[in-house]
This record gives sequence, C-alpha cells and structure tokens, in this order.
Amino acid sequence: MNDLVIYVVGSTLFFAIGIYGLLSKRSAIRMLFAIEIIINAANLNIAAFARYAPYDLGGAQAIAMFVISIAAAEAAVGLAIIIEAFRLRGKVNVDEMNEMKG
Amino acid sequence: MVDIFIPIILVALSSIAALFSLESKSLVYGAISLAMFFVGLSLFFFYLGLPYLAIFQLAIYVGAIAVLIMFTVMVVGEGTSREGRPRLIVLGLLGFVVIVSSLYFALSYFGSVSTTQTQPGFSMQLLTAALIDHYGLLILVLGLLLTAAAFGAVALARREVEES
Repeated sequence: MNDLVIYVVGSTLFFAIGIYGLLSKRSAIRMLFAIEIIINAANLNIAAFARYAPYDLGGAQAIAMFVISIAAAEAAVGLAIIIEAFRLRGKVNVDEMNEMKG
Repeated sequence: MVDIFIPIILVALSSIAALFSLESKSLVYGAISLAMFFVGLSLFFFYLGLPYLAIFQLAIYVGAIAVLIMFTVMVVGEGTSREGRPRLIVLGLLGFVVIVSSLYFALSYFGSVSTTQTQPGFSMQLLTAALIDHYGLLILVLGLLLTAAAFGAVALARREVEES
C-alpha cells in the first residue's frame, strides 16, 4: 500500500464518521461536531493530493486555509444559533425545531 | 517501513477521537475529543510537510473553534439527547466499504499522479505567491465574509435588553 492511499482512505474514514454523526445524532452540538469532522476530512484530502501532485504546492495550501477560515465562520454562526435555540426552548434537539415546517 | 506506519497510526488515533467525540456520554469529553481530532489532523499536515497549514489548523481549530465549542457546551449544558439510529451504522459501513474500494481501484489506475513520490519540501515563497498573486481578491472577500459572520454571530447570540 502506498502513502497516498493511506491518506485517502483515512480521509474517507473521517468523512464516513462525520456522515454517520450527522445522520444519527439529534443534538445540534453533536451535528456541528460531525460537520467539523467532514470539513476536516475534505481538508486532509486536499493537503494529501497537493503533496503528491507533480506541480504547485502553494495553491492547494491556500485553498485549505480558506476552507479552515470559512469553517471557523460557520462554527461561530452555528454555535450562536445553538445558543439562541437553547434560550428559546431550553434544549437543542433538532427533531423538536419544526416551526418552519409547512 | 516506519514511514508507512506513522500515518496509519495517526489515522487510527484520529478515527478513535472522532468517534468518541460523537459517542461519548458527556458533551465536555466529546468536545475535548474533537479537539484531539483537530490536533491529529494538524499532525497529518506536519507529517505531509506542510507546517504552515498545520500551525494554521492548530491556531484556528484548537485555539478558537474547540474553545468556542467548549464555552457553548458550558452554556447549553450536557443535554440528554443521545438517541441513535443503529440501522444507519450498517448502511454507513456498507457505503464506506464501497467508497474506499472504488477509491483504491481509481488510485491504482491513476497514471498521471505518482502516489509514492512527494514533492520537495514546503516553500513559503510558493504559498505567498499563490496567496497574493492568485487569491488576493479572494482574501478580501473572505475577510468581509468573516466580518459578516462575526456580526451575525453577535447579533444572534446577544440578549435583547427590555426597555422599561
């Protein structure tokens, strides 16, 4: 087994764990954990392919940094929404947030 | 030989940390475990020879996001919703096996990318040139986006003061 395959398999494993958490957990905080795991799996993929590609190291690293920055913004807004939801209803179970349901 | 084992061990430890962050009974331990997962990812970046990205990952994820999550857990409390859907685990495992096997075959027949030879070491010049020459406008847009996100988060989370 060569090196890149290890990274890609690892990245897929993290992605699968994140999807599992996103689908099976009903707590909004756990779902945010799962989203962060998925984003990190994608980032690991970008970095690994950048390292093994025959050209341009800088561009992929820059894109990975952008992904991290946007993930930070997403986490901040997500956590603010969670705090607001907790303030309104006292719990953060997403199954019970159905006011916008048609 | 050691070169192969280090990423495998990192994959195993990071997977355990990721799973524990989702399955732990306590949300606080889950948040700590998620921080460990972020540290594991930064070790991956170090090992891949991308130290700037690794430091960036440590600073943003472990230094900011993990701490923010910890504070939110302290505000929201532990919560009680741990219900899972066990049938999805089988479906997820099946999907994982399919994706990994297809990726393995795809990489095996991938002729143009060498999967064993890495590039020479990290170059700060390349990264700086990419950031300034190619992504300068994108950095400005990203700065505006982060500012908007910060304002949005504060507007969402602040408590309205009742006027008397």
